[in-house]
Amino acid sequence: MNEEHPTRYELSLWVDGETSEAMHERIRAHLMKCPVCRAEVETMRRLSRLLVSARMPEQLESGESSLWQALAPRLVRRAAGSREEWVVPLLSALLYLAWQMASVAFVVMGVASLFGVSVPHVWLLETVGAVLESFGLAWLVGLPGNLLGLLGSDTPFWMSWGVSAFLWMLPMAGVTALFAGWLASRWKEGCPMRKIAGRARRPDTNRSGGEQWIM
Amino acid sequence: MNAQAGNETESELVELSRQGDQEAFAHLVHLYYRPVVSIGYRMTGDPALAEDIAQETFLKVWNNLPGFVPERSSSFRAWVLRIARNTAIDFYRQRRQSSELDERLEDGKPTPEIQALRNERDRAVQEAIMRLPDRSREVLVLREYGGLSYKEIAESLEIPIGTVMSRLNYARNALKKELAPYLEAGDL
Repeated sequence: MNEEHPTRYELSLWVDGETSEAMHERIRAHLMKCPVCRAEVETMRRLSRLLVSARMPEQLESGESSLWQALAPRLVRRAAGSREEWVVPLLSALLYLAWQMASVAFVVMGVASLFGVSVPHVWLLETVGAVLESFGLAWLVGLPGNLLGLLGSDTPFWMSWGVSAFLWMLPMAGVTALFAGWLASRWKEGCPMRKIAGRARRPDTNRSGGEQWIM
Repeated sequence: MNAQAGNETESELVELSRQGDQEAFAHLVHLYYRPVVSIGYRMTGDPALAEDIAQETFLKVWNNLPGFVPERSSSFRAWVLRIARNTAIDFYRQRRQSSELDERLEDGKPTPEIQALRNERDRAVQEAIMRLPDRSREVLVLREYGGLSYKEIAESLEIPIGTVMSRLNYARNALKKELAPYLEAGDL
């Protein structure tokens, strides 16, 4: 034969159905007239049939039902714990959102006050103060005022507001940092937040690494 | 099995399982039992270990299903078989490290009960597979028993497609020599 034979790799690709359409046709045409390559392809196919037809031990061939019996109770436990998948992140997200809105409100009102714009800060502080008092945290309400007292009675409004806003935003920043940390720690393992947003990624199931398992 | 073979497509079964439907998952287990247990057995050569690998694999699949999104991930089949392969490797390592080395694997002597259930050809095939280098064996097993494409194998093992081809070629050449008497038999 004058025509060049396909390589073993190419024949293997052809048997496995991994060739491009053009290559598939070229090899098919070659096989029609080359008994040597045809024999090689037939050997590859026989090897594949031999491997696939080799039976496993009987305990595996008929072990599906016993596997399910052992598996099902473990699935129940997983299903019972699945509520955590959305309750915890949802509550955390709401808390995070609330803190962020409060932070923005404080900043906006603080900046606005610098330009002499009237802001309902008294109402806001009274509301927050009432909420804190209801939780037994009344001492927090007086903290900014007490600290402001250290600055003196002639403290400009912008400074008193700045100190007050800073004191309020400090715990907000803390909660935000905690939430961000929690979010980051969950992200790699398939963060439930992404499921809520419908943007889940696949979990990292390739822990072992392809190249490293030979002992 | 709890699930009956229904009219659901695989993607529907996956979606139902994601939502916690155990009947749908039971059907997925039915569909994937053989390739998963084959990978466990062909990679370790130990039937008992293969059972443990299969159970652990399906448990991981169940637990990770909520995070599996087909349009972003590889095919469900490739995903499941990658978990099976990783689990097989983990179990294989643990077995070796626990100094409970399975002598049957080392000298190729199966237990009497297993020996009674295997014919000579089945045993020869498994022994030949176990004699392959680990890296060639896992590529061969994912291809022949998992039915994965070269691309899926490459992605699962994080190696180039060319490496998949060379390892597969090496494995097949080695097996062709070892199993020559059986390849010449007329019943294949």
